[in-house]
Amino acid sequence: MSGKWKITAVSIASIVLITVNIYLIEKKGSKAERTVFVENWSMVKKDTITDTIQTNGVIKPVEEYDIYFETKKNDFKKFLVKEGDAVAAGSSLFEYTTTELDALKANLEAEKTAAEGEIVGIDEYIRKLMASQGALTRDPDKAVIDESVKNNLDINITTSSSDLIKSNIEQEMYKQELEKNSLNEKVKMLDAKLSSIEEQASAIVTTSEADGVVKNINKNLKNPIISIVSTNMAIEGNFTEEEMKKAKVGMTIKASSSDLKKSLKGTIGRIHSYPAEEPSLKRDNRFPFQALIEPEGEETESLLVGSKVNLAVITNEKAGVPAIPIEAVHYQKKPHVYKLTKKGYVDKHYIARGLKAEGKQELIKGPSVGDVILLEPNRVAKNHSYFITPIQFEKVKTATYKKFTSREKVRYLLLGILEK
Amino acid sequence: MVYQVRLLKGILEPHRSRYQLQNAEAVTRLGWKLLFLYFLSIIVFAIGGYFGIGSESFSKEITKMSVNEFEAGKFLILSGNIIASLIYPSIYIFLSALFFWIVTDIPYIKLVIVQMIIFGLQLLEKALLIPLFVLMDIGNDSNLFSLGVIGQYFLRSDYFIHFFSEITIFQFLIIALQYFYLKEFSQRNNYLVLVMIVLFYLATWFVKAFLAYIQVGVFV
Repeated sequence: MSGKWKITAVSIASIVLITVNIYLIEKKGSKAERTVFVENWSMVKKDTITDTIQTNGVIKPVEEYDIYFETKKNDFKKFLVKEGDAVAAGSSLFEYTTTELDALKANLEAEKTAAEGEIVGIDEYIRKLMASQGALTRDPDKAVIDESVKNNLDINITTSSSDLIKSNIEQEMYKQELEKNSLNEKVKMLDAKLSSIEEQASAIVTTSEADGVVKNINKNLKNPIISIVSTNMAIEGNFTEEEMKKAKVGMTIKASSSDLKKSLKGTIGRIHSYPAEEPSLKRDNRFPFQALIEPEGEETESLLVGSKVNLAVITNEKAGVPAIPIEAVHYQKKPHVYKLTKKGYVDKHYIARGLKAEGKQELIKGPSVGDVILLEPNRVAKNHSYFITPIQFEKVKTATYKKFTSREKVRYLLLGILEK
Repeated sequence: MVYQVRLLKGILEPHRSRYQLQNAEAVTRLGWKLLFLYFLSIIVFAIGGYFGIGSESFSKEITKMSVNEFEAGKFLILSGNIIASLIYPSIYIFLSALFFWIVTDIPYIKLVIVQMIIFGLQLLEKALLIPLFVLMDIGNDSNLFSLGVIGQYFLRSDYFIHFFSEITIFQFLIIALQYFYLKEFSQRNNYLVLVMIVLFYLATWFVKAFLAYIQVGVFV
């Protein structure tokens, strides 16, 4: 019995001691020294932090031009291109005639015919006048003057002298020449008009902003009758609402995919401020964007329309700033990190945080470049504790021992033998 | 009657093994058990060294050394730990047996066997402390089984804090077990035996506290 009692007493005493110890160690503001077991640490490094939006995109032509055709007023004649044709800027696509132009042309042509008819009449008259003149010169008394001439002259032939008649005829001839000249001018003008109409009506010339490929032709003349896509490629994708807050036009992009040998560079060219689908509460709204690809000099890879790419949009970049892995930052109350000091302590340091991306955190204030930072801040139960680290055998190299003085070697060996 | 050295039985069945050892005329398997103890000691010390237990004073080098140098330094400490794992049992078994042989009338070989049994307990304590220290982020001074934690609340002196942290539940068990064996083997007054044992352990605590207190860098 006494043995059992002893065991019970010892057990109870032990449990009490252990419980008290645990309480004293774990209580807030404990005086008990701690030794932090540090497995992972890192130096504050000068680093470049790039904040990106990771998303997906699809290769599509930069632009699509649609060509419309007004069937009401125009008569379609024929297409001059086929689907899949490459078209240069300014090449002809199809021909049509316009009814309005035809009416105009008919008018103009009628005018021209009338004017030409008048010219013929004037020529006839001038010949008669010349004949009368000649007759008067040869034999003034017996001259027979054409009726039409007689009627046109201002004087009475029967009473007037032949000289007067002659001078009158002369004047009439000048008058008629002038008339004929002006009619000729008119015909020239009409010709010019008509020929310009001809030119217009024979084919419509489409000048596209860029070279392209005929993507679609509507043979049934439904609009758009021709769609042309540019040969320049862009990347299209969607931003989430969250990403929209960061993304801006002009940001650099990098696109990569398994098909591409090199990653593509470019810039965001356009972001739609209105979602692709009607905005709704239930759905995450997505905002389309387009990124333009920068040509890579001579060796631009031919891009397949519709191929998927992984896209990184660089929203922010800071180069050469002190950075630490984000897991080193502890956010309880105020953000802080633990520095492993040259005196062998784990010390709390408050930090001012800058850019955070790629698992790195920029330090605006806090430990400086080269300081050693603990990577598991949750382990630190008490500020200003000692710390120990386990051995990483793979980093033990015999060559390293050349750097130690023999005194150092003995010191560390003794430390292992003697120090507890 | 031939006594077979059985360390575990010595701890778990003390009455029986005490009786056997009391009446032993010859001892077998002593060498094997000694080798086994040394082997265990190397293992436990090496594991402790691997985790860096007791290397607090070296940790500050992390800011001055390259990663490879730092690890090479720790490897030297581990080597030191392994050397210690051979020295420590030798002192504990043979030297302390010598001390008890001087102050009592017990045959040396029996004392060695008792010390071996007890050294098994010492190793067990050390082995238990490794995961405890690593998982709880505590050092030797804040050993859960010791008076060190309470000591830190009442004492200013680092040396005495180290001293109290050496006084653990295990040490009491060890003293009890040692007393249990030695009082039976010895013809002398039980209290004298107990005083000797307690004195011996006080001395070991003082030495250990001293070892924790000194910085090797002072000498070398």
